[in-house]
Amino acid sequence: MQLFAKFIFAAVALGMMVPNQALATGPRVTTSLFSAHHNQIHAVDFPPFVSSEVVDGGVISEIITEGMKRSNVDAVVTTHPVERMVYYYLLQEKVMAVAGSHFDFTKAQREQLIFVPVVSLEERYFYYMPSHPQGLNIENGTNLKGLRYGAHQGEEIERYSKAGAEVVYGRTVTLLKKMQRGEVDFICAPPRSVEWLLNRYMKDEKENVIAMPGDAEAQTFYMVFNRQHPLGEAAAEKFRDALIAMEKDGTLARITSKHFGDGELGGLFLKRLETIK
Amino acid sequence: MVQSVITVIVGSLLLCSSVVAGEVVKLDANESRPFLSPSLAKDGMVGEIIHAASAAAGIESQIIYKPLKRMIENDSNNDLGNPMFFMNNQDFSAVVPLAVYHVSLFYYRPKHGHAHEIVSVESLKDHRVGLLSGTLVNRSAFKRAGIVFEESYAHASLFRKLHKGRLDVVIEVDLVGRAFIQDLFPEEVENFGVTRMPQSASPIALNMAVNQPEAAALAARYREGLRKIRESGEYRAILQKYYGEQIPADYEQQLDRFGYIYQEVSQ
Repeated sequence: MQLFAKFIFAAVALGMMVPNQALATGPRVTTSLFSAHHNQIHAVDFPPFVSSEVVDGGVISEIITEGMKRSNVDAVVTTHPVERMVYYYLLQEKVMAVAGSHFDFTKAQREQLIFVPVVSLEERYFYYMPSHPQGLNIENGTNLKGLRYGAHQGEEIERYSKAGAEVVYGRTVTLLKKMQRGEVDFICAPPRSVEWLLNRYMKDEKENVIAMPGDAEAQTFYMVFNRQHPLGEAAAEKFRDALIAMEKDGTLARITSKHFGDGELGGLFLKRLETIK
Repeated sequence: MVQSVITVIVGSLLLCSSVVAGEVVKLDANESRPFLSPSLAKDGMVGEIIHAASAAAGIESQIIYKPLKRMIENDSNNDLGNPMFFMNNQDFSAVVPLAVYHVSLFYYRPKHGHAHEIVSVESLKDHRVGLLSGTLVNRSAFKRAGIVFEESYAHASLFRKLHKGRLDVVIEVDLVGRAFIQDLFPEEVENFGVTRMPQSASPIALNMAVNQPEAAALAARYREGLRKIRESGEYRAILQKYYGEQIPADYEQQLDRFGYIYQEVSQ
């Protein structure tokens, strides 16, 4: 708990360090501006794990950057606010790789892609206390009639709709706002994401967003390599090997520790590395 | 058959027209010359595009200037600007890219012959580089690479330092930098070199709030208005007014690209 509090403090401090843009049409000076000959890994914004607002782009971004460096592939991570943009770069511009979770590719698209799991993140269910003053627990949620579940695009939602819940889509930050407005009853997300977003955008609501007891299913964050890119297959192989090596030599622990403090590996662990067709 | 098709088209147009009949679509903007400014004729380059596309589509649009912080914090307004600045905090029902801007490296030839050598993060190390406060995104990555920027809240200050040789390079939005050089050193415009950065194209878009009534139909009308003024040459004439002969070669291609990327952006 103490370490978690430390992380929250760090996130708030970082938020203060990052100034607002001066103009709505100003330059966004990123490393990718100076990397014209590098491959760009397009990732879905997923604070605090992948975000231009977090030091070194967040823990997952740093793991990816280090893994690509060890794979001898010049690459920089570029974040995008919506998944649609990442799909565009992967499927239309046929970039080497993208990163994210909750992807929803067709069978034909998946055949052209190589999925390498990077991390698995524990998730919890959250609800908004003022909307449910008696509490809300959907642990044995076989009957969710009358409830609205806030889902992320591409998320598996069958169990909620089968149980009778209405499904409303959004990104974590907008789902939190929908919960506050009473348009959504519960969401599922990594606790660190929820804490970070509440601190950043909804500070006054921190005490009102409550985690239900028990963990939900873990969320896997993938690197998705493109077989249609000349470097795609080889880079996927090298990256997978690099991740294994980084786990063995303690690099993953060091990066995680840097972002979340020692002993916090429980929330972020390397899953069995496998390539999914 | 032809009659039924015409009926459907006319019906659709009537339906669309009813969306904002008698209503003004309010668009929040942050003053950023020469793209958007109440002190420029027709609100500047993007303002002119908005007004022309609106007229072509039969929409009345009103640009309301606000501080950027207020625009970002408000998650129920229509925003004009780079969608990336607003999307972290707000979902939009539609995003209509209206214009494209690029980022350039500016240098002063008498003090610093060229900027060809700046091709990577590492190559910035040996230079004194100036930029506007608040525009640095990957601060920690640059810091780790040993790059320290000189930041300023004032554009003019950056270009004066460049002129005096206290900075080697200034990173600035292409059109903004050119406008400041023209204003500050009208006799020396030719002495300033400009290297446009190849991966720097970004959109300036009309970001339509989720709670905007009939947002999808309205966005379709703005897109149609934009298509009409591009086709008629009015759009190109607006660009020429601001860029002169310096319109980026990939401008139209990037505008189409952003139009595609953001076409189905609603969550």
